[in-house]
Amino acid sequence: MHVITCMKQVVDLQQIRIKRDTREPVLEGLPVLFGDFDKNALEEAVKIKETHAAKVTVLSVGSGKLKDTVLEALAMGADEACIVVDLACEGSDTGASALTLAKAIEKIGAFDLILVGEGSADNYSGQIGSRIAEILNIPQVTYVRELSIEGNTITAVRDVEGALEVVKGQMPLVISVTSEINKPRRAPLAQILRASRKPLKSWTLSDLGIDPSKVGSGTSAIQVVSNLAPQQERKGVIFEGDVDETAGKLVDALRKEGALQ
Amino acid sequence: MTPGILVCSETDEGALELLTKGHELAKQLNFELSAVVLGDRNDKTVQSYFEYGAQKALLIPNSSFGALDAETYANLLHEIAKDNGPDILLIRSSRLGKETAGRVAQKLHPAA
Repeated sequence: MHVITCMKQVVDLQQIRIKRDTREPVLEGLPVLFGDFDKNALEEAVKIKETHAAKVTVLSVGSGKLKDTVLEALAMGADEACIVVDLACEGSDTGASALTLAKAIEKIGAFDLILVGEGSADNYSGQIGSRIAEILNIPQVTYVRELSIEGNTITAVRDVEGALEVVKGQMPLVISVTSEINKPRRAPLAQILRASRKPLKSWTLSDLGIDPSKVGSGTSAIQVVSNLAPQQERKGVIFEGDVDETAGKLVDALRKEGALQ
Repeated sequence: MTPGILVCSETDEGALELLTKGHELAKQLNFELSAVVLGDRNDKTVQSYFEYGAQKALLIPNSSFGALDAETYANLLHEIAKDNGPDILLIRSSRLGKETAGRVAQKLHPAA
């Protein structure tokens, strides 16, 4: 069995600083990593490998830093990594990203499962799985919180609004996972050091037969007009009086807000 | 189909919510506002779509689609939208809607 996990390199969201005057996030110079939902997808792939003798390939499109970012994925248990690094990909919208990933999947070769997270950590459009399924003309099962495999059949429990739906499907197919499906393992340092010995293939758009003019910011159907942190107004409530009085009023106010139990 | 806005929701509640916004956009853009009515509905329910601003309603009976999964839903919307279709599809942001939107977008405007 061959499982391909598509992962997206994003900035470390925990380290984003917001400019106080403009509410703009500062994204430059931040470390990059794979997002949490993508790690859930990879963890599930590695669990499948452990129970079904599968091969796991990590696939990602991103910057030159990818060759370092994938080491963690390889250390978590992926067998090999395929990365697409090409300046022309910068600013691609989901359509262009899906095309690039689909062409890379065709180049990787035969597969049984493609695992993705329910959405990327930064944009969370949740479109990649659907678009890849459409391009490759295979079914997709989304929002999976539990997955089992027997022979060529998958059984998935889907988390849909107010219900859990159990579906069966035949491979090959795309599966998008939620964070409930597993708890991604932390790769020990020894595995990270060994990861650099695992196969890593690096491709450009030309290797995939993609015309650079079909991807990148120039072709993006969506333009980001602004990206601001939400406005946070302080309530500006002032309690006046002596210490005992103001302390009592403060406690009452906090209780009303639910901040005290 | 006249270019305009097409509201797509698998629930009536979602459709009316989208029609409220769709009506506002349609006025602003001078577009026609239509809605898909997915599955068998009584006249009173269909009438509510018009009361909330739809100028046209496309009635799609249960018999024409069976179980509504994302592939089926996307094929339906693609059939409606592909030739001279709406400029905007307003799709309910349920998990079904999100999955369907990705497929429909890929069908209607592939990158290459």
